[in-house]
Amino acid sequence: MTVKLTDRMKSWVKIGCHLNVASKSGVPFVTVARNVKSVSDDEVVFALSRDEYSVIESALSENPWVAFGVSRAGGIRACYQFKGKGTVNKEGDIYNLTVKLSELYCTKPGCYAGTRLDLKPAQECEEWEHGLWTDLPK
Amino acid sequence: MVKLTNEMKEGLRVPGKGGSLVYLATSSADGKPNIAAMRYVDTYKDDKILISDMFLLKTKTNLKENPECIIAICHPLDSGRDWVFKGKAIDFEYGFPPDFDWYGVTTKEILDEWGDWHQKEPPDEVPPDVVYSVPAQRGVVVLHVEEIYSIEKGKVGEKLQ
Repeated sequence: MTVKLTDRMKSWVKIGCHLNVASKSGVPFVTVARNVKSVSDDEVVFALSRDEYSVIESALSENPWVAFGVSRAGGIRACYQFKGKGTVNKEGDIYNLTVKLSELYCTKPGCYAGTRLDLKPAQECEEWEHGLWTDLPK
Repeated sequence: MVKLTNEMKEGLRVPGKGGSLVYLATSSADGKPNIAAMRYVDTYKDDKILISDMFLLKTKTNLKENPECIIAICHPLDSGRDWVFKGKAIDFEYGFPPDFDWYGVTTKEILDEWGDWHQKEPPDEVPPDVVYSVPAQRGVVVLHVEEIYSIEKGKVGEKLQ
């Protein structure tokens, strides 16, 4: 399905994210992406430093899946999980991880936990979200 | 062998008692990752981290086929609690034999203490537009920690234990 991030999602993602990748055999590796380089409707680019990238380098080289959630207060206020496949380009000392999103989930505890937001039409998704939250990161 | 420090144990508590919100990260057996934030967290003994199984879906499915698991501090980040805990986890669900053992802890001792976590530590600090309406706990996830690494800025990935 097609992912179309809402404006609220784009705002929250920009504060940084926790990324989870896994080896082909299912061993997870978590890193923190403190710098988000760009966000489009279905793509997020993380600018990773060498140490941030080193944690996920091996797993990512054999398995492109990336799952991420928003760091800091986003863990409470931005109840989303984003999934897609990632590719890496090195630019100087920075590793640009581009994640092309293909799945989007609500993680609010309760009846909406696990809801596939990417399966809703974009307008419906936005209205649904607006009915729950409108706050943006400070 | 890992030994959680007192500082770590203080951080791995529910936010309402001075702890941190954490991310729980798992993977399917064929390598599809999953990550979700958790409020109900505690430690047990020196190498176990506990998470309430209240609304787990994909996490639960993943743990049933693959015990590899990570718990990472989410919020507050950059406050000295820059830790990632890695190891093997199981979801002690109601119905498991009381004496079922996971790296030295049993179903009974975990569920007796943390089996009704909503009652034990109500989510009073959770904003009303995020908190669940009715608690629905089905078990407790126990992570047996085997490795701890840093997510401190500039030191991400450095092994702490």
